[in-house]
Amino acid sequence: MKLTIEREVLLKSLAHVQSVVERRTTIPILSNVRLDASDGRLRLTATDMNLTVAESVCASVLQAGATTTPAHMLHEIVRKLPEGGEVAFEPTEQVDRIVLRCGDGIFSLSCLPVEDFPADFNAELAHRFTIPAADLRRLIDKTRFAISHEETRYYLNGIYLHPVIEPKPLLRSVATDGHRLAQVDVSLPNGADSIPGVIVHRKAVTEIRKLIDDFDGEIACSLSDTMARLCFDSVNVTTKLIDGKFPDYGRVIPAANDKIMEFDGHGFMNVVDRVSTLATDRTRSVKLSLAPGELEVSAISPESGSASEKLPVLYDSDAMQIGFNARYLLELAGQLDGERISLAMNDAASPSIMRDPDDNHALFVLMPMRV
Amino acid sequence: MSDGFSRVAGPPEPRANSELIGHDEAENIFLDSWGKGRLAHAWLITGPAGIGKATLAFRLARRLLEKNAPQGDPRSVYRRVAAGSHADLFTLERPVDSQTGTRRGEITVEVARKVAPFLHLTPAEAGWRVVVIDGAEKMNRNAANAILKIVEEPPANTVILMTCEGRHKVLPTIRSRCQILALRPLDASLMSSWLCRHRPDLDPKQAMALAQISAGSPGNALRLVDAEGLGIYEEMLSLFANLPCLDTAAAHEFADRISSSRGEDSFRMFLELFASWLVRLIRVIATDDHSVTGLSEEDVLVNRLAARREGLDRWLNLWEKAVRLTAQTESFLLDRKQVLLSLFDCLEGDDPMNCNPNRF
Repeated sequence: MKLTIEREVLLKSLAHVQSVVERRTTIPILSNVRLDASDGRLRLTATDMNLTVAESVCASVLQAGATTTPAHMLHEIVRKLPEGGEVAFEPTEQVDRIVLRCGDGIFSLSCLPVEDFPADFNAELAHRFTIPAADLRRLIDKTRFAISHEETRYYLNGIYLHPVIEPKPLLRSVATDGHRLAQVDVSLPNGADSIPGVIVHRKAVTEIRKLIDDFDGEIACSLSDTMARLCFDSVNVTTKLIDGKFPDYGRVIPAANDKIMEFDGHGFMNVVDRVSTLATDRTRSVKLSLAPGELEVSAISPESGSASEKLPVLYDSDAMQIGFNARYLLELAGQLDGERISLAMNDAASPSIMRDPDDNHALFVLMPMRV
Repeated sequence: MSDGFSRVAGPPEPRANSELIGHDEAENIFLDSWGKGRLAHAWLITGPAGIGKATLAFRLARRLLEKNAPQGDPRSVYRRVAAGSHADLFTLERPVDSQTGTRRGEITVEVARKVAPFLHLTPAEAGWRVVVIDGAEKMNRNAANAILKIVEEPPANTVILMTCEGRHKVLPTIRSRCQILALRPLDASLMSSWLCRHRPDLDPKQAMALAQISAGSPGNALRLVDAEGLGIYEEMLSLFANLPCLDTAAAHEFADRISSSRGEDSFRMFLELFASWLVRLIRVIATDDHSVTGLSEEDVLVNRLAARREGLDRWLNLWEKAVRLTAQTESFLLDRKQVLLSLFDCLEGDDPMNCNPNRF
């Protein structure tokens, strides 16, 4: 393999692929990035065997070939090279070495054979559609905070992505950890109406989100029961899925919550944040005491004291009290883009629904706490 | 992977070893049940160290994974299994200590807990997912319980292949959920030809002798070659030649040499050889089958001792003592020479006709 490539181009794609590589792996080849040079392009591939990220960039290839070399080390080297430089890869007489040159710098890197590198997940996947990057970002951003960390309920360790046909065709993502649930919809892309419901695991969600951060085009997705692949801007991400059945989340979304309170989101978050300073116990619970037109947020700690603050709200049902975890309240309220927030409750023991009154396509369910 | 075997030069590591000798029957049991669509989800491959348990486990794993391979390229599966980079294979083995660079003594729960997340993801090639647990007896209690949860309720299309030196060394709750594949000791002639191939410097007679004293385990035989076990064995036989009389001076000289500070491997090797020789002797006495090893010197000695018609319990007690002392020498740092002399003393027994006036 012999080629030259601009340092900035190489650095950008190395930054994309190297974050997949686990820092502490006992399998040497998994620390490596695969480099394939042919037909004027350099393709970089990195994997942790569950998630593979490949990117193809322009390079002037003098001799086609392929090798693998430690990903983090290569990234560090290229990051420290002077800006605007040209990086050259050259073979050496030793098969397990490759030389990287930039200006007067020469780096000899160890290599492992490409045959030992995990196989590309390149099988054809049955379902294909394209989705705007902004929609995908919305599906991820508003739900990922609710992904469960509990390994016994592994099927909750990801975002459940599935189509909804009735009453209106939508592509929906759902995540829950049993305490809160996030459900976000975007319009259903063409061809996505028959896709299977898939659960995308947390690491894939994180990596995909990072990769699409500054991309604004259409993303080509393909899916099967066992794999998902996204292609955009010469990047190709393929991931295994969680092999489980997502619970019937619809049953925990209450349909008859008639005590509806509407308030200014920013002010509410400030009040909850202030009052919860006193809630020093592990659960950080705060009590919402509702009366027509007024909400009082209070917290009591046996050791530290108590706090309460009132704020005006739109509320005209019966007075009630309900407790919530302050952190969850703040996290949920932070997901809503509009200025107003509506909180629909039933009683102090039933789940409540938080949403933006102007956005019907995102809803958050929060379980109350006993206070 | 058992202690010491990873250092043996010769055949590659089990995961990269494409050659399996002498276990066709076990392999066929597995393949038959797969062919009939009744493949058990968990298998326990048992047998002595070095016999080829892990080699068989990885071989079976490759057979399953080759079925997955979209391009049907067995070579590619072989390379990736050997490199540990097959996305549908998870190997659980004793972790390497990052400070010392050696394998730890047990499979800890931290590494055992990585199996479940592997099985909770879909297969990469839409077929089998295989977990190889190399040295299941090395799992500590917590690790074994973590694996038990998986063996109790395995996901679909999953095969768990465990290797273990004795079926009773794993939790009964795990064992009862596994199909057991017991590997038999290899045939001596098969093994001697294999040994000659891997160690061309051995002459056929030596190879045959090694095949017989290594209890049908190729790994054990190679270790004997590398630690010059055959030489120690021959010395042991010549020292015992006049049993129940033992030349005290020769015994002291032998014990000095074997137990010297530089000869740790020799000492362990001797205790193993001694115990395995006792096993063969006990078998001859118990079964009255005098067609023992074919090693002429050992045959003569064993037959002569068997003909004395001493009680079997004496030899069994001695074997137990040898096994116990082997373990205690390491854990209590016993004086190696005294351990050997104490064993030799027992070997002479309480025979009133004992010709040696200078007992140890």
